[in-house]
Amino acid sequence: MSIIQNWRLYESRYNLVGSVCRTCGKQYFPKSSFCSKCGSDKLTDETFSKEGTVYSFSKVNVSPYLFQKQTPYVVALIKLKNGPLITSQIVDSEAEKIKIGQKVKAVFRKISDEKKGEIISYGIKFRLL
Amino acid sequence: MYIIGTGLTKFGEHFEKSLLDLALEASVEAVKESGLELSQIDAVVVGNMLSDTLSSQGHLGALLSSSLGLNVEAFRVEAACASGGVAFKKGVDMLKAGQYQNILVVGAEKMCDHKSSEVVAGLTNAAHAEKESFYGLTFPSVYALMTQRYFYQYSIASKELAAVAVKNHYHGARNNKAHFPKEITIDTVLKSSVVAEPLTLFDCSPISDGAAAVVLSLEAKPEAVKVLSSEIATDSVALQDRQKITSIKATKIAAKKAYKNADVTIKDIDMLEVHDCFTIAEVIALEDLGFYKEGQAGQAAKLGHTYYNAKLPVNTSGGLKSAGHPVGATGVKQVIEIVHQLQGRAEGRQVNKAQLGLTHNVGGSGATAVVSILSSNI
Repeated sequence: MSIIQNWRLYESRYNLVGSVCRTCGKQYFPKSSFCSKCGSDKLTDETFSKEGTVYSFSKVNVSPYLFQKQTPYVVALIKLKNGPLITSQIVDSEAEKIKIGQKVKAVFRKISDEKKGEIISYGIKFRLL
Repeated sequence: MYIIGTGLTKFGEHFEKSLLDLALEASVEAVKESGLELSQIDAVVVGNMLSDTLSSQGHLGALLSSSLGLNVEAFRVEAACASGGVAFKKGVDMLKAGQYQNILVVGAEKMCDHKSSEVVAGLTNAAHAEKESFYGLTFPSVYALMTQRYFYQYSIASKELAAVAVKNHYHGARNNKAHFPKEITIDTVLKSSVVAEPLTLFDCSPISDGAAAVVLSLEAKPEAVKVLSSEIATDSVALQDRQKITSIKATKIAAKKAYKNADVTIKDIDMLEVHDCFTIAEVIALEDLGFYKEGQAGQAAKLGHTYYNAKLPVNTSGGLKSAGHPVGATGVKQVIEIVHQLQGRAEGRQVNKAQLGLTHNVGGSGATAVVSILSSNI
């Protein structure tokens, strides 16, 4: 991902800032400018909770180039407390202990290795509570 | 409209052939079988996902049509793993529009020239770049997330999924165009290396080269197969934005439209080619297409219900699992398998008295679904 693509998303990625539709209440992460549920364009920023529960997860053994140094790693869908379902990783936790429904907490982490000429990406991952 | 010619390369590793070589081989065979002259082809539609990423080649429409000696309208369609199915549907649409008489639809993909990490990265483009790939999700892991949730909600486990791979390899072993025409056992699947938990190597379709082509025509000829309907539906690219991840809404919508426009019900359908990019995908497809209730298709292969000589033949070609998955070719190959079955040309895996078949091609984790219904009754 280019420097500009990363820059455009850093607020969402670093602080779990998404959007909420002021018309129907649907939540989006990362930010969105249009509500696909009701068709409204009245969305405002919202910082979501740093806590959530595991909705689904998988330990990845075969990975793309930028993730090979951290392989194996656990990807997951996390349902944020009072927030939307988001995609991330679960770290600092034994993969065998992870179960659907477990509580998790956001941590700030390096996301992937740098690609030549590009910046290192950071963002939110989760750990078991 | 009718399918009057088919052409299919063997799926597998074709180090000696380029993407264009494969597309030409399938195209020439399809036109020859149709009985038409090349000059009677009015347009060419190419389904392909990865040529820019892997082969540094775009502009496939003109590349193929000019290589066939044609100067007709030609373009490429990209919808991830549904590229072939969408190309087929576009061919059907163009004939319906009435401007053309005969259209060549070609699906082609060249994957084996590249390192698997490059192919994995390329395929990941079918997922949402900012929401999924950014965090290290791979394609198997996206389906693994669906599987894990499916296991949590319903009472099946890895053994039931393994039975899907065993059944598809049983079929593929009877298809000389299949990439891996070998029978396997439940243990082969369960003991193979884990790609993304809980999916093992043998839950996943392979990386393959191959091409498939059909000639669509407004005019039937003896042995032609009629296209009763072909429908597409779409949904969120990212799993996180779906209402649920244990079924694929786009499949449900496309299937409903396809049944309605073909004026058939599921009871009329004799056989299916469904998109088993991963074993879980076949289970979910059988539910979304209406053949089983949600959470209940997991036992189908294990109980033997989906073998070619059983009550609901599914993936007699070997599916993506055993026949191989040259991404853009898959949707067209599914159509060809049904055509050959309806024509009684499926040799060691021939379905008895098949008259109506359905194809189901999916892009990404379910963001695009194409459902087509074909009939031998012209």
